[in-house]
Amino acid sequence: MKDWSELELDALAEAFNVGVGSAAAVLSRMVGSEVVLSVPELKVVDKAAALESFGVAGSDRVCAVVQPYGGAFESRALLMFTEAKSYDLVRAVVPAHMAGMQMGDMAQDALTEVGNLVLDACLTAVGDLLACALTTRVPYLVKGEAAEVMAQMEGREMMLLHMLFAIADRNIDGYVGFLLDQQAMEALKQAVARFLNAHL
Amino acid sequence: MKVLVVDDSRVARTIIRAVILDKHPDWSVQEAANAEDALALASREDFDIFSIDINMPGVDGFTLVEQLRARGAQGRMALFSANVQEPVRQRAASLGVAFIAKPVTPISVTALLAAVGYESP
Repeated sequence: MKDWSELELDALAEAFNVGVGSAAAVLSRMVGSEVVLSVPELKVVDKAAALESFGVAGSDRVCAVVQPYGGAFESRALLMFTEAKSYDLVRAVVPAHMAGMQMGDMAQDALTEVGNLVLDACLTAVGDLLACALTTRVPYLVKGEAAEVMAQMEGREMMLLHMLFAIADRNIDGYVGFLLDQQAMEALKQAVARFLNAHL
Repeated sequence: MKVLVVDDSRVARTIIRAVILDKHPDWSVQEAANAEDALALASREDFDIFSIDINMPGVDGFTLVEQLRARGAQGRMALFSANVQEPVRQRAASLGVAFIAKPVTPISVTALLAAVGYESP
């Protein structure tokens, strides 16, 4: 990532900005109220440093929806919340009479569905803008201690997008990560270069 | 015609500027990366069209619209944002400004110009 120019990083951040905006619109329709968005912050870190960037301790309990995708390059997207905030998110999107449920099968399904919709919207928007088709596959939920969850992920570098959701008077922090190996990172860089050549 | 493009993304600003100048080479297009710079530019000269991003570090696009108007800006304004939620569109409508959804492309920039009355849709 060191060899990315400022303009390339700006273009990539803008692509993710469009993706997050699209994802927020999906989430807003699910929860029935506005999702207040922060300015997305994009950075690339070694996977080992990702938790520190998330502000999560290795021993913290987390839930993560993992979204494998392919097309222009093979990779995985990740939407991760602390366990407590994942409960808040599920309660925000499920009917009130189910609000007392714990993280049982139903709640896990709901969280996976939210993750699928958010990550799919984000990936689709990024793929459309950069003209590199990205096809999502079946998502799955992993939970446990943060360090264990990260250890299960493939790839060395991780592109992190920190997005803040504020839903219906709740502050629900969500973190979006894209796990990229060297080949995937190079393919993404080429897509950004093509985008800039076509538009500037 | 004088245009002020306010967006924290340099790429977004550059594309908007390039598309406008491609269509209207005789227009003037200036850029600001944030609300503070936009207010400073608008205090020095009058603009006919403002293209304003919503989610920017510091002052957001909605507040910038109000601040520009409070300082007497007469130009037509459009919010050009990736935040495409319905409540956001409604807030833009309540302010009486056009809302154009990103991404920034020749089509969306043309839509922006049409929304402020300077281009056939």
